[in-house]
Amino acid sequence: MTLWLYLHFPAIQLDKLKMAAQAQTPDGVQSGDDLSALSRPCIIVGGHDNKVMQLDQAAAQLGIKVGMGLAGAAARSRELLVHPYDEADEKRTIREIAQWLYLITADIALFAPQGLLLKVSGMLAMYRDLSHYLSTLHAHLDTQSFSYRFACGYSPEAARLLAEHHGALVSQDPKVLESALLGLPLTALSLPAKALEQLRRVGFKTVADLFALPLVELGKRFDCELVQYVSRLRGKVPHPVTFYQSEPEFERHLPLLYEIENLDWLNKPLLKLLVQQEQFLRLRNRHATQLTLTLHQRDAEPLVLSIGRGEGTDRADLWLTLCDLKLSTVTLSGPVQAIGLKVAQMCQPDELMTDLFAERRGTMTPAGLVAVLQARLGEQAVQGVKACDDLRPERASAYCTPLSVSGTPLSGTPLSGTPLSGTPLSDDMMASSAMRYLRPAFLLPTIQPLQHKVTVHLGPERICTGWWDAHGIERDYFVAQDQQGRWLWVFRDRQQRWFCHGIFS
Amino acid sequence: MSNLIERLQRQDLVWQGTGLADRQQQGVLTATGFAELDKHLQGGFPAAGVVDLHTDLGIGELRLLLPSLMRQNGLTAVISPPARLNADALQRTGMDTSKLLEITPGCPQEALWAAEQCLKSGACNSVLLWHGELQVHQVKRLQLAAQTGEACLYLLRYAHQAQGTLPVSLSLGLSPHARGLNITIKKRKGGWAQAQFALDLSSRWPELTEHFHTQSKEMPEAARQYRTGR
Repeated sequence: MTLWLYLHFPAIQLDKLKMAAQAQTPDGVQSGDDLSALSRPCIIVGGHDNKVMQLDQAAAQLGIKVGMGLAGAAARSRELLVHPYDEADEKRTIREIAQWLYLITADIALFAPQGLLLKVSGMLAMYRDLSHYLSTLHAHLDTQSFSYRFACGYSPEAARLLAEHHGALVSQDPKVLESALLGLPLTALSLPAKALEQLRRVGFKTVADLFALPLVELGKRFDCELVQYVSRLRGKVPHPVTFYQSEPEFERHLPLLYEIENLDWLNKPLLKLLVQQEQFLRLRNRHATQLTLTLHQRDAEPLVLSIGRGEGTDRADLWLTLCDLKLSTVTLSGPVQAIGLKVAQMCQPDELMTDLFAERRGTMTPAGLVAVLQARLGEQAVQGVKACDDLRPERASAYCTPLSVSGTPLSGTPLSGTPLSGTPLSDDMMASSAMRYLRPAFLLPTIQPLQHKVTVHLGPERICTGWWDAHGIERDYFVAQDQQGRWLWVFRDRQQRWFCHGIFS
Repeated sequence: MSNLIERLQRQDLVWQGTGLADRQQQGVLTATGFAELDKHLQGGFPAAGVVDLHTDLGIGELRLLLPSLMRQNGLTAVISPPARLNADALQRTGMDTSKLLEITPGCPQEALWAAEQCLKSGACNSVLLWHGELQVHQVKRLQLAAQTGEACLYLLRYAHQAQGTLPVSLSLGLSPHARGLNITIKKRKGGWAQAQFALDLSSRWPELTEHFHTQSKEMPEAARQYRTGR
């Protein structure tokens, strides 16, 4: 027989809110306000009639109980914090917990929104015994600070019932488990109200009464559904479960207990998500190159920020600095209620081939530097330059993504055939180089009319091209010097107008 | 007596030239590519530090720096340049344009921030920054960043913006000359200021010196026409 362990998380949403609250409180600053805010009783209400579904200890002390109406609960205390139940969020969270448990146990079935079923039998080959397995599981799960109840069982349904209604029951002995199951009241069973009513009328009170009757007899008196349920509960018929498979993508959503207006306070909740992301990436031996950070604002569209880093990394601290820089440039249109984080692009980690012994004290790589600069200044403000294959001066040079490999090599050769690289020119070369390919190091962003007197030293160089597209030019270029001794690149167009186009710096 | 000197040293009030001499011998200078300038600077530009250039735009200030920039392996960041960089021209000169970063920040504060990031990253070998007035504390911060990342900051400013003294490693004044540039070494860490001397740039860029044009007699017919304006 297969042994199952069921984990029941009764208050996922509440636990998550409390966690966020702790993360929101900055360390060291434990002012009275924060403490009192943390200790305020908190409840989650849901359903069409607004019943209390989850409550914390402070709320329980006030006498609030699960199933109480909202009005009744609110009447107990003025301080009460009320949150609506969010099933979608719980479903998301239970997947996250499953993902976390997947690191130490193999077969996990999701019982959304609040339960997880683990197949223990297979794992006992890896762990010494049941207690070793459980202690590992507890230690692993306690880091997430969710409250949970658990129980073993020889059928999934039995384990679930015991976890939800008995709790903390771990044993491999079938008799112990059986006796615990027999003690449960019939109302615990997930049967339709009609079937429960029938059983009650017959005089059955506990599971023991139900099990006392042979299945054949049950089949004669009750409908087929009940018989099937009982046989599944007793482990006579296999219970179909689909096991969880790890997700290929990282996506997290963190609701905040208190709305945040100051972006500096986002750091700690964000770091929590980034640390989870780091674990996710490290286990898959991947690096992230782009993140999508979503700030859900009150009464406004969510703000979606895309944060890129040319050279991928999995380190949470590096990503946090980039996020900080990005956040310092945005303005919120409303307080932030929740944050979402998603890895938009992943890549294989590439090992850096750097010299181990070279004494360099700066620690950043070029791509890392570009990422930092772009996060703060915007992508447009940080550009690489490349030469393009075009004779028109304004098109011969273009912006490109920083650090990209050199553009297309120029097919045109310099008119004298000698590149200017380094070596001084001989005398006859100098004589023949009057018409060398000479271009200024700076081009004015827009062509300016020439407004002061200049001395023309060299020229003309006629550039007459581009008739095939809409940007044809017909210009005579000259190298000129103005009265301050500045070297300018000027041209005259067909209408004999003079313009300045560049500066020989 | 020795006690007093020690105490002053601890407070950083005494500056000893001997320590600096040691550091210079370790080769923390990069050759400028111009033998004459190297001689005047006793080796070249500092490899890590701030070089203050008081210059007009377009007289050859970039040509002065290009040979040393071309020899570097790391990145060269160009922050708030007066106009767009022309990759075509730089590539013809022999510069690897993929190592260039053109950064155009929105305000002077961001320009200083970007310069500091580039300097201390260790990824840049040199940073060119066009900037106006600077405070002493800002320069000190940039110096520290330059030491951290072992990079050199070339600060290009107009002479009229360069009032007062700043704690820079080297300060040069540039002005146009018929054969190239007039250079004044206004201040040098561990050395004396020097009077103006002329640096001949005509070996590399003959067309961009007045001297070349006054010497060359043969002028294309067409050019003469344009010059006389006919």
